[in-house]
Amino acid sequence: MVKLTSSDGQEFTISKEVAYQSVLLKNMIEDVLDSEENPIPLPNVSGPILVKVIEYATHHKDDPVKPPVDGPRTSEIVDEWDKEFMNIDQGSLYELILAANYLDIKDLLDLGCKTVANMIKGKKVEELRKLFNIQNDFTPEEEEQIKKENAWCEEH
Amino acid sequence: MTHNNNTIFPPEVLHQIYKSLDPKQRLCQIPTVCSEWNKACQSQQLPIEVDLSIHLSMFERYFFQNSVRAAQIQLNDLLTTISTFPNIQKNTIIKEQETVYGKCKTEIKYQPFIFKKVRNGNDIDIKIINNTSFQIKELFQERLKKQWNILSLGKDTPNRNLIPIFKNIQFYVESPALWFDPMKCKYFIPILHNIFYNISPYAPERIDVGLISLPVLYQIPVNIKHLTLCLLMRDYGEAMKYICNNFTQLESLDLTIKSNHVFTPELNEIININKLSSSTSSSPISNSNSNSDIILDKEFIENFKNNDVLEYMSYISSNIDDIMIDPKYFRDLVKLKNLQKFSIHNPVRQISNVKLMYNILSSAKSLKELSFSPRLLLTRVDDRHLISMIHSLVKLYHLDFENAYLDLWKLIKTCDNITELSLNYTHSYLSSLVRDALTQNIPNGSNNNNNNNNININNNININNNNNGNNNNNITTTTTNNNNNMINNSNTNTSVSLVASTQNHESNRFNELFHARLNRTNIMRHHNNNRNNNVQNNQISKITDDYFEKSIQGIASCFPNLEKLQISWQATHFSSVHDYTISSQKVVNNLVYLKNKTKLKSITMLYKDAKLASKLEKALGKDVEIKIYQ
Repeated sequence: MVKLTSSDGQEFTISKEVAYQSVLLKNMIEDVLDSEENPIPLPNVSGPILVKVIEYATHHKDDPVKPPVDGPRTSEIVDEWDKEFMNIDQGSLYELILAANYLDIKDLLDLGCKTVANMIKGKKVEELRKLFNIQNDFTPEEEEQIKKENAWCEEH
Repeated sequence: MTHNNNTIFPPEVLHQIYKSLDPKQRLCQIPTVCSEWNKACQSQQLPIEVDLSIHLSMFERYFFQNSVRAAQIQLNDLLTTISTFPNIQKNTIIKEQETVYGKCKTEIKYQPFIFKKVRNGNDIDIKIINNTSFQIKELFQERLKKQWNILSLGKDTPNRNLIPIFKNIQFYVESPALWFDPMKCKYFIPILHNIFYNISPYAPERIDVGLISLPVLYQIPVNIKHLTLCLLMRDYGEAMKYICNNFTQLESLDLTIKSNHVFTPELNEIININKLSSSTSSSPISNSNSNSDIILDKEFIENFKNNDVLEYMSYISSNIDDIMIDPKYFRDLVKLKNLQKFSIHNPVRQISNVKLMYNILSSAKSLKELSFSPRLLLTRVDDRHLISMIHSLVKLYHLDFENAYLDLWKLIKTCDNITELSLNYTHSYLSSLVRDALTQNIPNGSNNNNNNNNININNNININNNNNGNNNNNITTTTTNNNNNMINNSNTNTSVSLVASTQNHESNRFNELFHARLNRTNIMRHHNNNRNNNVQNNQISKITDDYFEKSIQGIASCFPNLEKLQISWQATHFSSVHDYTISSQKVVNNLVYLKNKTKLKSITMLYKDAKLASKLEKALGKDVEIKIYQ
């Protein structure tokens, strides 16, 4: 068993099998012999998000190794459980993606990115800024310049 | 003050999010959202779909013939589109579109040594320029960027990170002998390695390599989906083992096996003497920098000063006599869990144990398309196993048959999964069909001998000959058993003698064939002498029409979900006066029947009268696609 401590001090005990889905944790466990006694600190992951990560890793622990993707991916999420799992508020979604990136859990990161991509699809610039709470940090001239540079693509 | 999320995701996460977006949104809208998103867009790779042709040659002559300079990359077509291309798979739902940013065709022409003629006083010397340090990756990127620039009308930023995704790769060589002469092969293998592993991070989707040796096979990325290749008899066993155990994502395999003697004797000698070193023949070459290891040796230069050396690299037509394929080497096919299409060319009569082959293929459950070329040559000896295979492969939707006999449709039970059927009826088969039918109509007196044949065709006949096809009139076997009488064949051209053996299914089949053959000769002679042509022609038409009708009825009952039918009915032949054309009305009536009984959407047919197309269109309606070839 492996002990983990989240950024807000919560402690979690999980099996090695579940922990090994994270490349970061796998490397740490192999480097630290007594990880059962000494919890591994995860300062970038909060307790509620770590609960989600553990839920995902536990559900997928027996999945066969996926072959490498031979080209650009689609944003389609095929697995129904995954779809339901990602049905969370936007803030948690961002945190989950960042946690997956930090812990190096490729499939979870991929799932999170696809979910965001699906949110982006078909939306206009202003809608995107509003959806993601993004401030337009371009000056009007810069924005005009970027639009001009990309105008060739609009014509296609 | 509002909290903003501009920097919430690091660039690597933004890259991953953008990967799934369609090109227009990614190139036009995302960069305008904020500076962080703009930066992430600029630095991201843009995949370009590329069809690549690789031309490899020792001599410029080959490139001159193809009007292109050596060692150069030519991007033939413009990147004409920025769009998404649907990834359509037969018999499945259309998958969501993949994001690619254009597509083009590219050629790579490579010659390891450039032979330059230089005037030296009154003489002309040949100067050899070593071209083995050819920087293929850089050259490729440069060309790709130029084309991208054309596509964006010179308006896009010049530093896009363009990445090719090789959709189709095809090899062209001046002679496949390049791959079999170790002296030459070693100059090309590193180039292949560079192309496959250093230009694109993605595995090619489809590779067509032609005739190759094992070291070339070992260079092919194992995660490709479609492979077309040709192998020599000496290599196919090892190659199949390697393919089945390594190409785990393979969806289609198109294999041709050629005789070991396809090259001139001189080259065969080289191949036999200089077996490729164990390092190249037993394991993939992984050293991408092996160009630097190439040293020009004097002997090599002397050999290649004379371009006529090319002559001994000649590739001659395949000698099929020495091909006998052993199905045991295909046992591992079952390991290719994604294999949907398997094609093997020139095989059936050259497979040592067709039954075993059918049994092996029966276990490859993922198969949807199975092609033998020539098509499935039906031998009644093996039909039980063939039919068992057809019923085992529940995903199979396409079948090819050559000379499908009527009983076949009775033997095949209803097959819901078959939606495509391709049939080829050869002229010689139709001839034998007509002869057989006429035989049955002849008065008894004319062929009494055939029923009470003076051959004692009892239990002890076997064939010891591979060339015993229905249309072969010269069956040569040997008589060794005293119990067998010599055949009195003075009235025929068929020369047969027999070998004693225990009775088996095969010998009975042979007896039937033999009877029929003797009968045919007598009957045809009888007909030629005693009947006028018109009567005979009418009879022939009736026979062929009847055969066609029964075939269509059989097909309708076997394949209720049939959507696509191809029929090559070879009614005429240059060496024959007989015409076995089916009447157009008969064709129309039967295909209407077939349409009513199945889900027919497409018919392709070889027929001498082009008007058949309009007749069929009228009778079948516009929802059936009709193609008639004359």
